[in-house]
Amino acid sequence: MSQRVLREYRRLVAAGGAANESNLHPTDPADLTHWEATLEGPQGTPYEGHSFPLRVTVPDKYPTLPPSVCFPKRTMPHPNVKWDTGEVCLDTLAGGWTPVMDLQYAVMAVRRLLAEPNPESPLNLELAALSRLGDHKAYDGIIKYRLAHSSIK
Amino acid sequence: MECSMTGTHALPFADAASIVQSRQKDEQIEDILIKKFTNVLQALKGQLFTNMHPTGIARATKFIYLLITTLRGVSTLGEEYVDILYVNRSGRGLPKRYSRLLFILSTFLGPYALAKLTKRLRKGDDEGNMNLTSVFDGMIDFLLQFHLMTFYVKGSYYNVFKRIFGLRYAIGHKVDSAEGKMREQNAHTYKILGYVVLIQSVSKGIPIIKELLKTRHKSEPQINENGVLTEKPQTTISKISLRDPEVMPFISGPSRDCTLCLLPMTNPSCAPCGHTYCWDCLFKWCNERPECPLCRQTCAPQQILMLRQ
Amino acid sequence: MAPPRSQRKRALNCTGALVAAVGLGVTCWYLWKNYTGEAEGEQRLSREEAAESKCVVVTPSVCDVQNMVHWEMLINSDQEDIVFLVAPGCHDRFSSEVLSLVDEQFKYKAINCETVDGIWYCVKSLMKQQLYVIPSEVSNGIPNDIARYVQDIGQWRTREDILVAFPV
Repeated sequence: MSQRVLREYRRLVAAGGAANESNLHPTDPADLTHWEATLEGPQGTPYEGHSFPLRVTVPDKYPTLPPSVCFPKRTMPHPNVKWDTGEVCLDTLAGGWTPVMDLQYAVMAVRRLLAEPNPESPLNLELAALSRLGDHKAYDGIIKYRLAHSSIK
Repeated sequence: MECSMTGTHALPFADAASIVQSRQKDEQIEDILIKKFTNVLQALKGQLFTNMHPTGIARATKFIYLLITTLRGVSTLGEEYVDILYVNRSGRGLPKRYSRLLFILSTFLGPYALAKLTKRLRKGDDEGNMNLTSVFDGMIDFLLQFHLMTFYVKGSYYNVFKRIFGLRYAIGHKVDSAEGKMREQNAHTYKILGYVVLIQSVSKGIPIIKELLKTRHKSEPQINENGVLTEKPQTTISKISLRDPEVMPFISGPSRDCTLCLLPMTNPSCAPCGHTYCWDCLFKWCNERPECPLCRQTCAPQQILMLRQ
Repeated sequence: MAPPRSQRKRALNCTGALVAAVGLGVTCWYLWKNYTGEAEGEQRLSREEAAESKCVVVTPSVCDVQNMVHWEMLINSDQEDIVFLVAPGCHDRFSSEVLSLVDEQFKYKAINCETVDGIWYCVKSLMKQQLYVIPSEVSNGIPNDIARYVQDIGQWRTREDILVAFPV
């Protein structure tokens, strides 16, 4: 495993809870390849008032390769997230990755994606189409429906 | 083209050139079939389905194509095009139906099994075993190249599974002397190609074997809890470490840490844009993508400059 | 006495073929088992999700029968998996006549659509089993590809059709 993750973990612990607003932490401190974070729905978006667990997986070749992130399946209605799998499409975590970025940066990038979806590279075709169509009521409605419906079930 | 053959007379084996030609023709036909099949499936099950399973559709099409030609003992269009037909290993009879069936099934299932196996091996790798996957991949590569070489040199068995199940090609007509001469010449060209492949695989194989032997014998340098080397690895260049405040005092405070490994820089080196990292960290990244990790200006590995006192 | 060479060779060939066949059989079985195992799990999930689910496109006639059908009862029910896609032009009416009677926690089941295309994207996204719509009240009718995203399309022509589908 990369020593870099270990040092990121130390820095995170040293900085304390306030600097870590997404509560990014390793699932098991003995194994730093699997991490978890909690994203708060940004204000002014249909996600407001909900919080979303996010799983972060660190590859062997980190930081040369970006971490991969994933929502639990069927929890995140978003144009760039595959509903059935929770897979996230984000340039920062693909071609746009550089090793100066760290896990916390990656999580913040996903958080920004909630507020600023990119319908040009969709994984949820219908939501992306609604967004491109400009039908904001339907777009917000579907997201709120999904969030309420899955929390009731 | 189920033709009867008397056991004593053997047809001449087909040469590499016509086998390759027939295969190319068949690939063309298969492409056309795959397109048509995809269109049908798209109408039936929607574009999403065809987009999700392009390889599966291609494999299924090829499978069906082989079933209705080779299994029934009928030539494929490519084979008919260059007039070649299957014979058994000795060349004195037609191959058995079960060996044709086994050949078809294995061409269909082989890739699946291989993918499954690599996946399993990779899982093993993740659990910290040796890098079995790369060794396995290398071996498969080597075997395939060896197989290809044999084909070019001897003109037998273009497909691995045909080799396993003994499906050789013979020319389906009488060869007169002029045609024979031309075929011989072609075969010669292919032989040269075969030797080139041999040289290539040997030159590829030697460094891998060397590497393997080396990793067997090398002991890992010790790394302590802070991620610092406690045992100095064997290097000829003396290291410059910014851990020591006396070294390069003009680099101030937080800038002494490398943004890639988050440690005080070892052998500080700069990209053409002026951003500075450890030599190892920057070099590793520039091999991956030749740009500065911070500002993304181009930085080929050979442009990296190591700072000296 | 040893059997003649050709016979021995044939026996050897046969054993080889047998071994290959058995190996292939085992591979087939293994792949098949894996494949079906995965597919079953997925199917179970989607069936659970879509159990008895309904999607109603709200157009003027759907609002007209409110006094008879009482849509808010369906929305307020925990049992019903039902969603209403409110067509443009019906937002205010559906909101004042139906949604005003709905518990706050269930209001999410009505989705206002500003465009007709938006309605169809919602239908595709929700993938409910049953779609109810009055094609004559939606411009351009039902797109062809909708049939792939729902199991059944209930096409209402008259108000009576609605009452048949949702008996009081």
